[in-house]
Amino acid sequence: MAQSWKAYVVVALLIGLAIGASIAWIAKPAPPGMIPKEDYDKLKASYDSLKAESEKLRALASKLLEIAPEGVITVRVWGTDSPADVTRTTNIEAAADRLNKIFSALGLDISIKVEGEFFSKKELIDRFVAAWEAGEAPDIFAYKLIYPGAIDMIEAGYVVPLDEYISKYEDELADIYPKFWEFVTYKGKIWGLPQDTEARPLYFRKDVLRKLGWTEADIEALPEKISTGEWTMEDLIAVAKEAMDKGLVKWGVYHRKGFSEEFPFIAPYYQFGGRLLDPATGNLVLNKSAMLETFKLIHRMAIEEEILPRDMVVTDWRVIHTGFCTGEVLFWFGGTWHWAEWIRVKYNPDFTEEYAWKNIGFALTPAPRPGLKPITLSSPYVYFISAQSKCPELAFILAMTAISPPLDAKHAVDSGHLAVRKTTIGYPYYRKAKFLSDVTYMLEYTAFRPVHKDMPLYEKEWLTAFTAVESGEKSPEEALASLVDALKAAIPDIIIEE
Amino acid sequence: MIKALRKAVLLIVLLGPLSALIAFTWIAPAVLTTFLSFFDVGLGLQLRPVGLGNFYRILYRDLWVPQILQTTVIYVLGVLAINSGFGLVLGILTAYFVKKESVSLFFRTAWLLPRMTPGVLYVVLWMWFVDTRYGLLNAILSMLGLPTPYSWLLSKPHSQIIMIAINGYVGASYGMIIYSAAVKSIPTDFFNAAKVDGASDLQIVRYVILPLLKWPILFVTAWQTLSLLASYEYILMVWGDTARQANVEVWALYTYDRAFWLYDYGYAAALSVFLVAAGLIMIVLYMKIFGFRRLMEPSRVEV
Amino acid sequence: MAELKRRVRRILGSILVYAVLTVPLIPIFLMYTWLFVQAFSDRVIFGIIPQGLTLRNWAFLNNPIVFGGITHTSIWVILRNTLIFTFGVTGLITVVSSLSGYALSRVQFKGRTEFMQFILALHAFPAVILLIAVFYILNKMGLYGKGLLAFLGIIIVKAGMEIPMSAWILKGFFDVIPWDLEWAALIDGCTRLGTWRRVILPMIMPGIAAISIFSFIAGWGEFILVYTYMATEEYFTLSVFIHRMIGEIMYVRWGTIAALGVFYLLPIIFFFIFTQKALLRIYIGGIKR
Repeated sequence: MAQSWKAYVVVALLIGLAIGASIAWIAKPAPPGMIPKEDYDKLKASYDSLKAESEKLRALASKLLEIAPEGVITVRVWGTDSPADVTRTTNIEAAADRLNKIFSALGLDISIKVEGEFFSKKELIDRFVAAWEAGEAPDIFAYKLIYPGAIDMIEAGYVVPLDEYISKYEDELADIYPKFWEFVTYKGKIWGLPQDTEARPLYFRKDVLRKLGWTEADIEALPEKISTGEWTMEDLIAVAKEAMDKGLVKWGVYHRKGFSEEFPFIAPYYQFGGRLLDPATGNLVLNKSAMLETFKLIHRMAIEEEILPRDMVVTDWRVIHTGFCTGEVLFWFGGTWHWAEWIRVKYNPDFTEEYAWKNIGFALTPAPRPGLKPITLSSPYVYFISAQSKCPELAFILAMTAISPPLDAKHAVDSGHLAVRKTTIGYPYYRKAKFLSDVTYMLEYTAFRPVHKDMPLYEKEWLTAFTAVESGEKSPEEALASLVDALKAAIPDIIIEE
Repeated sequence: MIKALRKAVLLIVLLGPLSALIAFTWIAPAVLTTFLSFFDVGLGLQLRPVGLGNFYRILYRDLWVPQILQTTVIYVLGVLAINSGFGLVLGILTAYFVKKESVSLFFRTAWLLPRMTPGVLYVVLWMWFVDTRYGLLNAILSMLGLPTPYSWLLSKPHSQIIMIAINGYVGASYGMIIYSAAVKSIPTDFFNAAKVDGASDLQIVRYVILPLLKWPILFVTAWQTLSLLASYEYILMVWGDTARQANVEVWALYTYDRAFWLYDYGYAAALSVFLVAAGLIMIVLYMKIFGFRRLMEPSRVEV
Repeated sequence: MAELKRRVRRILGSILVYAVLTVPLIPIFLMYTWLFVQAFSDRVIFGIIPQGLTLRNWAFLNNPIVFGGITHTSIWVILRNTLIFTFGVTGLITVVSSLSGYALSRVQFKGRTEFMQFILALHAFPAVILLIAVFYILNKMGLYGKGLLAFLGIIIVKAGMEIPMSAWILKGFFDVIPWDLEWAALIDGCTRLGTWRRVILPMIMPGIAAISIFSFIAGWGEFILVYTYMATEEYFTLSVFIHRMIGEIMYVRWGTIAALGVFYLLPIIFFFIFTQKALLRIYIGGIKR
């Protein structure tokens, strides 16, 4: 077998040589002076840039040889979150493969070995701290800047700022959505390399809408009407109520459990004109009127109209997904990754991709009332480079390669996330994923949760006040008053706006 | 002189390992923790001294402390009633009233199940049981024509009842084991003698068993008070970050939250200093009230 | 007539006894029935009625659980770790507490009472916050991430956490051993240590058994230490492994989780049933005085 393979190569080479020679004979090379100047410059430029690239790699290689004279470098990477996201680890392994090939092409005797671990994000900080204290922290790890403890890790000096490398390799990173850099910046420095992102759509049951007498055209037009701000939360409440009154669904609306960006937390607060961060001082902000409007909206849905269960925040994830997937619930505020999850995990045994396209629609979070704007929220996952990495630059290059288009597309599609690079969107593997292509427009409407040390405290108090409203224990006004008190006590320098 | 030396060697051999273990797992960490409570310490363990700042914040600035304190008292007393009180009932019933050994073994095993189940799994079972939409609890209640709350987890008193039940089912077996062991160790002559005198079962419990169980009761109560003061795991697993609104946030949970959610180690250390102080006060009280010293009657052999 | 009355009272009495024992157990019965039924069926309706009996949920016994490109560690490796940890903890606790229980019961020394009170008072320190400090100390000893060696550290910590209780319980056993025996041995020229080993130790076997059972259950169920301190799944114990699987509950079938739970529970239940006689011989505060 191997013999014949080699024979094929030799034959192919010979044929290639023959073709090459004949082409050379037909198109006799022009004498040097005859090449048009632009062409020559272009060629020369690409040659120079290639040479510069390989020089960079050679420089890196000699640095690596200093660290590991025997030529084998071990890089440890920790990926986190759901098992569908394991490409956060395996993409680094693929990146190391590529780099190894380049090294050997350059005739450098270096090989990079990746030791990958993957676990849930809740485990990351404790494990990292324990590993750090023992001097065994990983080189690269995937996490979000807005997750608990991320800012504390930066403050503790566990991760290195990336500005130096980002400017060094800016050509390779030019196609990352510029918005994301802002989101990975804290105290004026960039701390993470955006790895993927998502949007938070409103999902709706098309089958229920049909039963309410909506035509296919009405249903197809809904996302557009939401984008323009024509169809608002007022309409959503009315439709949900109608469906419940007619006994078509058990509940009109579900939202997630716990705190998150999407409705009913940051999304409506932003829509009502609230802001969370004051750029001038860098302090957190509570806008009382926006928060009150948010609370009033939720109070209306849960207590007055009763289209939303009062115990939503403690409802089990399984119950939530089963409810929506089986059509017991009309509207659900979720994330783009849930689409893939529903198909993969049988909350409803009939739920296939075909079923999904037939029965489930998605759109932006509608404007709360006419005159306001629709919205979605995103928060990129990022690769952090740990300060215990023996060669942070190598770690950075691996991370950068791991988010380069074909790998980026693989991760995005396989895990149901959106790509962070514009180039990826054009890649066939990504284009073929119809759902992702269909929701990518939402990034135009997206906003972020602020990156601030005290944000976890803020969220905790917010969730507490919110729960009091949704369960009917407190009126929106009472809840707001207690939230103001709690925030003032917990975060002394918070700015309270009217 | 030689005798004293030999005794010292003996003590070192006998008590050395215990002391070393205790020093390693309790004393060194406790000292370190108390030390940390005077600092502002974050994830990187860099120390910024704040003097009594953390304690001041807890006592005067922290809005939630009164509510947490109240919840902690309800929690400890409620679960203690089950662990020590109901555990006593279980212990006496399985060791005295149920004569058939295989039957009492069955009940003992059943009551031990929650303790032997991994916490994460046990909590999943409960979440399923009390779920408002699919759970069996509400199904049973409505079958019996009883009212069902909109949620068993979100507002008191229901949330606190569930909190006490979840922990009580785990804790009852501890008391049950200790008490039934104690009952089993009572010589049967005692019971027979009482029976001959015409005493009923209830009278035997009242006048024979309970007086003999004084020390085990004291021990279990004291031990469980301290365990409960420091426990939070099941509450954390069921409620997560909704514990506060649900009125089930206990002091130890708040401490955990500060340390492992907000990474405010100094503040958490100061919070736990209060917990330790409360525990120590309880111990001293128990010792004073019940004459705990009698438990430690001196050794009678002298060499 | 009086006979009948007594009979009725007896029957009413035992109804009451069994009601008190059984009624509060109803939720537990339902929950665990659900768990067992889940472990052997495809789907479950109305909580406890199985549909489609199957052994598919037990496939993890032969093949590691795989999901989303992650192949989880084989259950037998996990079981091995659990046994190493559990036996380590049990052994250490038994040895240390049988030494110290004897000293606390039989050797007169200055500060003995205070020492016992001190041990009890240790219990006031919540393990929550000690964790940070414990890990700091373990790391300084260089035990992190060293695979099986790291078990050494957490075995010591776990044993240390259980030891005050065990020492107390075992002291109770030493307290009730007749003095004459020991006197006789001492007069015959045995040393204190020799007496301890040859005369006393065999007599407190039930106590040692009780301690071992308690430590075994505690070690088998230990979660937070292994969870925080074991970096790689290869060295997880069963409870931590189940925790990780439940974290991925969306992806791993419910039946598999339930089967894992049963796999975890069965050994410890049998262990308890076979050893509980010894457990019932614990004396705290020595009744036979």
